[in-house]
Amino acid sequence: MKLLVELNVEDPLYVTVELNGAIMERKNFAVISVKEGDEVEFLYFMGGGRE
Amino acid sequence: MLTDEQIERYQRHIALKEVGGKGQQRLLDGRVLIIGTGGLGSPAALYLAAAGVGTIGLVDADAVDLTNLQRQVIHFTPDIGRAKVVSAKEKMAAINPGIKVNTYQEWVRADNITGIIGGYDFVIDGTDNFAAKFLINDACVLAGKPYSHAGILRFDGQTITVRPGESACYRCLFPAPPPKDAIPTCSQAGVLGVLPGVLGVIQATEAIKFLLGKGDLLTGWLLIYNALQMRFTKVRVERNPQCPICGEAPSIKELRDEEDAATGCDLEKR
Repeated sequence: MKLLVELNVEDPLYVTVELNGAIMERKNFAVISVKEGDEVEFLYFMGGGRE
Repeated sequence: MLTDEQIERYQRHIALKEVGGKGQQRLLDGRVLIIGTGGLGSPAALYLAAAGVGTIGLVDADAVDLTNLQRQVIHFTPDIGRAKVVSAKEKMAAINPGIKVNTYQEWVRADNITGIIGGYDFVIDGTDNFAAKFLINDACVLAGKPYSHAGILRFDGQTITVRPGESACYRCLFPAPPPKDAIPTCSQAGVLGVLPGVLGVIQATEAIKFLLGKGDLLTGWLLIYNALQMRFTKVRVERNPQCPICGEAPSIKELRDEEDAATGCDLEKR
């Protein structure tokens, strides 16, 4: 959670977090800790380009 | 059997050992459905028609608008006000009269999508809203239909190919649509006109590879593209055991329309 705050991810509702290749459950964001060498990916919702 | 005209038209394909006459015949026998004839669907439809994919379906209830023309390259200025599926079908027939284009001038909904996708081998999601994106995912997963997802915003795009039951689906990544409130629409957020071109052509490439049975599909990987940095990143995406539709204990067993989903182009509030 601290990482989300530090990186200025304003609303965690719009991001999926992947830690070392596994999707993290949103309800666990507050308790997941990240250590040196971990690979963290923030994946955002993206819509389409019609309108 | 390919005709002399077809051998000449598809000569550059036939010259590829991975395609050849046999592969070209597979494309001609192939059936691809493109949902959304906009920024993503335009380039996909043009290239699939040119490539000789024998049957292409187009689904879109919309009419061409002046603001579309900055990126929806299958529609021309004189098409403003005309149905997008009709406008697109004309251009595809002009490129390649030897293919069949089926048009569905309607939006996909829980009660019509399964019937529409049923007649196709592969589906391309070229829609612009989350309700449709989740519906397409769910319909394809429940029907076991392989499909290509893509999303775009501003200078960013991402795409993944889904083989239901084998690779991660859209809900493995994003279990539910973002809430409706406070999401900028595409017209507010903007999108670089060439961006959907890049993503739509990648989606068409996936459809062609699927029909040919060659190469590696973009399954299990989310390809993320940023046009400003000109950076392509592939992120590994495993199937999610908690996925509400393809996980171990799925909660979604039938299709429903995501009424509360954001309808705009959407998203990241930054």
